[in-house]
Amino acid sequence: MLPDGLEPDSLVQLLSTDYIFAVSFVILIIVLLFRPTGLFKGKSV
Amino acid sequence: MSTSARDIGLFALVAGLIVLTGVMQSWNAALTIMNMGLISAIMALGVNLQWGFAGLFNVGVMGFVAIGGLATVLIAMPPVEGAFAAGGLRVLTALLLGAATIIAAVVVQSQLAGKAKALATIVILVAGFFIFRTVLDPGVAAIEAINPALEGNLGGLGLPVLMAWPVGGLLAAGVAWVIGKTALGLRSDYLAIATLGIAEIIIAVMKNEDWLARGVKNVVGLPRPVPYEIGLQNDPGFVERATGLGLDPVTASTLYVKTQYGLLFALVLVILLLGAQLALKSPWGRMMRAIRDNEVAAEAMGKDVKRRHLQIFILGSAICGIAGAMMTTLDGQLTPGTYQPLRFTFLVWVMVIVGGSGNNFGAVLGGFLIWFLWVQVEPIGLFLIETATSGLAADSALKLHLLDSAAHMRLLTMGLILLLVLRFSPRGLIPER
Repeated sequence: MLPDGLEPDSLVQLLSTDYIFAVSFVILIIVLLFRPTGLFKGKSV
Repeated sequence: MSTSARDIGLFALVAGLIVLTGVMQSWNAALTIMNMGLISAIMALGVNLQWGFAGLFNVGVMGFVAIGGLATVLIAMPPVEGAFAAGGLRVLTALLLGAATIIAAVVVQSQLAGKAKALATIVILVAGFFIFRTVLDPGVAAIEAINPALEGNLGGLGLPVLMAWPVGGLLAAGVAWVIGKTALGLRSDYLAIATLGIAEIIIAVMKNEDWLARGVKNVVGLPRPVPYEIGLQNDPGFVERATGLGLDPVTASTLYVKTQYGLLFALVLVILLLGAQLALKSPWGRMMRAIRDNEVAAEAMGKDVKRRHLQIFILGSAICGIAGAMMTTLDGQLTPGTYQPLRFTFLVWVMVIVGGSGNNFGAVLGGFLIWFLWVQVEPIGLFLIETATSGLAADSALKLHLLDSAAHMRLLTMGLILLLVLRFSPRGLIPER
């Protein structure tokens, strides 16, 4: 897809695969910080 | 029976249990339980500060304990030769760049508005991530290439290991500051989920960043603050004294080393307990409890609730960090794979709840008692099952199954104790007063 010069010579891996849990928790924390009642504006107690 | 007599009785009971272990099993086992009991008591003190004083529901204890352990490696291990020259500067620059990216994103968040804000944030974060990785990766590769079987990390500063204890506390305090600044504004149950997640993230980073502390390859052979057993056994003066006491020199050396550790830990525990007790009795402690009991009322009286929460969150986490550094020193190795939430977060919580949240002595008692049971329930369970099934044939399927399952008594018993204490003494063995 990319032009010749920019194409990586192997698979592009952004993070080590062992970070699956960390990434999901990061998503959770970011959502909690910016949308404390969930992405769809859930009910706040 | 007056309350203090009951407290002393409970402490005497736990001391008796440990002494009984010494008599029935071995004094080495008893001292091992006591040393980890001291560390557990310190962890429980930290959690008690957060939960008992201020009502902060922190279930990320494991993360702070692990950071304390990391501090031990970073302070006490000798630096790896050539590692810093190979990639240390690159890694440090990359970390600074990463921090700068996040700060830039935060600044953009507060300065811009609308579509420009979203766009600028995304551009900064994505570009920052790729710059971070471009700078970091060659440095990491260079560091990890140095003698990977034994080292492959940056190593530490080669300072005395005892310095790692306060530094572990400081490091945990710094992390707690970052977490508190972002997550303490959340409602209490969301704070619990956020701290749980952050603790998992800390462990994931420690497991995977091999350049830092070798990740799951573990750092072994940490320096010790006490003499080595083999050194004592080769010391004629020590052997003479041991035989003079009628002890085998090998046993005597192990007992001596464990006692030294125990004295060091006891010193730290006494200092922290004294501090926590003075804090609890001070106007500051009363203010904390007032905030815990009614945040709105305390805020109406002019108390800065957010600031106080941050303060006690940092203090409690620092204590957990100190305990973590002490534990890693006692183990002599850092094994990130062994940090399990069940063992390092929830067991500490059981200690605080069983001991009595809000009471420092309760937390200390819970630390000793729960640690003792955690260690001893397995052998006791096995012994009970063996006795109960002794009438059955040796190859009876039922007997084999029961013996196989006996090891799982541990978790069952922890739950059972928690339930029993909550039923018959809902505020813990030594309640807050």
